[in-house]
Amino acid sequence: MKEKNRAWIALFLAPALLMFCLVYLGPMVLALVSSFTKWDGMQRMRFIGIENYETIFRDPVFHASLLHTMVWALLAVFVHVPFGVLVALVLKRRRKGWRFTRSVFMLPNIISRSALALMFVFIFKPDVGILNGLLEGIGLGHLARNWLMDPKTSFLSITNIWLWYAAVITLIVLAELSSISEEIEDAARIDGATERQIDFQIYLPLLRRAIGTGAIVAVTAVFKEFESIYMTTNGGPGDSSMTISVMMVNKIIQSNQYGYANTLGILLLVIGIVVMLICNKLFRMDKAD
Amino acid sequence: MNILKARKQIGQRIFDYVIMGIVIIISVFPFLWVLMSSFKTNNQILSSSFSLPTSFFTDGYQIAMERVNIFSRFLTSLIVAGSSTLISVIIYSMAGYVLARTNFKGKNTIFMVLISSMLIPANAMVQPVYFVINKLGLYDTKAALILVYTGFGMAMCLFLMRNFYLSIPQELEDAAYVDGAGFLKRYTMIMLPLGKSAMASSAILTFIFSWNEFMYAMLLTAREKNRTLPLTIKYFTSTFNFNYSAMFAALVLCILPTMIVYIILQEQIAESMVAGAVKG
Repeated sequence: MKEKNRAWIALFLAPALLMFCLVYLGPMVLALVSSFTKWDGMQRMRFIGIENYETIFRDPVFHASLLHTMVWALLAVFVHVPFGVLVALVLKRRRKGWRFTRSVFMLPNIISRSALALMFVFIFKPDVGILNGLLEGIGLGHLARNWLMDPKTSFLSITNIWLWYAAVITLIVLAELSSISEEIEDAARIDGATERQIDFQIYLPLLRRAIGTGAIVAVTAVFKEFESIYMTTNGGPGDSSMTISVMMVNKIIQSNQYGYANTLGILLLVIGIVVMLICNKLFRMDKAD
Repeated sequence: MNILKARKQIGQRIFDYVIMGIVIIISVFPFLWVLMSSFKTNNQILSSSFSLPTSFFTDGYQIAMERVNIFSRFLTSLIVAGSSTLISVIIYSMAGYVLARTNFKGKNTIFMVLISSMLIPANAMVQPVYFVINKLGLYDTKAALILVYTGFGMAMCLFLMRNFYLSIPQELEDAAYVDGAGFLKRYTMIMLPLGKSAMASSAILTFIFSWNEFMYAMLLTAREKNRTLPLTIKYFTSTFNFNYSAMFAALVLCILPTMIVYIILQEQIAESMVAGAVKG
């Protein structure tokens, strides 16, 4: 019986293992190896040691990309996640229309990012865009500008494509809230606590791990973010909205610098893991309440 | 004291509705605006971005449909996302079952290795994946995208499946074993039918991801028949330039299928999103 099972076990695991080798292990090894080479895909890889890493750390485009990627990670943790939590706490009170609000909040998260990005291109456009029209309408016409093409505003304008759409965080927190016993809330209310006190002093501490999960999800998503920039400014003007993902793809498409691009990929991976570990520590995910 | 408290409650109520109002506006307004603009002529769009369309102008849609065979792209997306979803559910349910319910040497190591793929951001290895696909002779095929999307769903699907199979009481399987049911029979007759909810979550998440994926679709395909729906949007921005009415129409056509499916399945989608996120 045991012996027969062994064949079945192998058979059941084989497709997943094959998939892992093709899509993760193989590419991972290739990325790591080629990060120490000069490689354009046509000629053989030429080993150059850590030259790619040295060049990258001196590359001003990388400095800008790293800065922007880090700013996004911070905005994810300190704006995106709190906004999602706030919406969850509001929806929890089940005011009239809370279901509808929850449903529509998901819409921007469910459609393809490229479509959402294009919507924002239209919103920010100087000729047809509604943002400038809106500003003029309320008498702030002097603020109107070409939002995406102005190096001062391009990066923060793009940020709006994801910053406020925190429905996933809201859903995670709502799911966690529904598992917390209502007796706690009732008891606090009898003691005369206001809604705000209940939110901040009772629910927030209990939600620590759910919020931590949300933060990790949000930060991971930010590191992956590509379309919102590619569809709008492609990192420009200059490097004013460049991130590591976009820089990497440009190195592949525009200049065939595969070794260099894969070095960026490896750095993206390392930075991602470090930030994830920091989130883990920050929200003390490993400790029970 | 009571008046103070009542006033605070009213304040809270107003605050809640303001937040809900903001959420609704930022979520719905862009969609309504795009929909509205798609029925306006180019001149109307340029002269006033806010006004309602004065007539039901559908030339934008006509031009958009002529320029790109949206239906064919829709079909490509459906084939790619559908196949990735189906294959993912089958192979990860098999692996998840084995990793949850059997004992063999190295089981935990295999699980940890497979799940470590979660740490790798999908787009950190774009060029190496492209290289592998090329070597396999799959460049510019639907199979390339199906393979990649199935791979990227691994950590999430495995996690959902394994956790589910772990939660099924052992007695159920033991009873079947005593009745003489073999490995395959226990899996197909008992475990598989019970695993529907985990499978549904995995399927929904894989489908949404594959349906919307952009970067790999752009880099791994070339011919029109293998281009997916999200790429259409990039194509339109580079070909239409100043024909806004066609661009808005194209955008509506690309978003519409997702919207319809979301409206029908929203509860399940919301549930799956939570299940998938909590895996970390």
